[in-house]
Amino acid sequence: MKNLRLKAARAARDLSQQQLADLVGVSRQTISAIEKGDYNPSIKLCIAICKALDRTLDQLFWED
Amino acid sequence: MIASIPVLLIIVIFAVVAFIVSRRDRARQYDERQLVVRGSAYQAAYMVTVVFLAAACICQGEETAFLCRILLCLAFYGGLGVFAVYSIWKGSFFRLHQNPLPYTILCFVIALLNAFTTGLRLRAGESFLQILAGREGLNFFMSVLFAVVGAAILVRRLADAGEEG
Repeated sequence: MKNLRLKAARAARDLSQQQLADLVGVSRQTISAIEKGDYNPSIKLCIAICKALDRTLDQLFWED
Repeated sequence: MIASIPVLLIIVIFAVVAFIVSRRDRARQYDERQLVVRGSAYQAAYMVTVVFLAAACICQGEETAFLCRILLCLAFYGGLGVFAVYSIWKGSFFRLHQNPLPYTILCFVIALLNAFTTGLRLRAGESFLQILAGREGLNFFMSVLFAVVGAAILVRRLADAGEEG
């Protein structure tokens, strides 16, 4: 399932995939795969992404 | 013996360059997704190698020595090729922040050098099958492998350029 909330949060911060990837220390393809729903990140990476985008885990990764 | 000197030279140069690059890139790591993908790539490459090795074992014999040699080459180069192309396509071949350009250039240089060696034998009047059966068959397969790897890197880079969002 696509993670549109992550994509929206990244766009709201005006960050490219590469910029977010550099902030959290992963490759651009990894950010792309998470947004597409092709890869389930570890909790460690989820937290790093949340900190970089100033959001909570619930806001970005919790499915209703 | 003399015919194998270019191949040995290329292998030594490649090993030295790979050693220097690996020491320089020690600080660079793969991220968690890349490690998972590389695991899958190793698995796929291992299966390819095992299948061709099994086929080579079955084909052993005086009459099928040529086929056996080809299958052994395919076991080695096929495994390497599957691992490289799989991980390149999934964006997991290069470490974080690693520039793929030097590697791509090296791939095409090795491919061209080996193709050149194969071409020399063709011009000398040998048939393609004779070349494959001889030691120069290794040059041909190495040429194909590195050309495929170089092309895979270029295609992936082009796809990435259009995908960035």
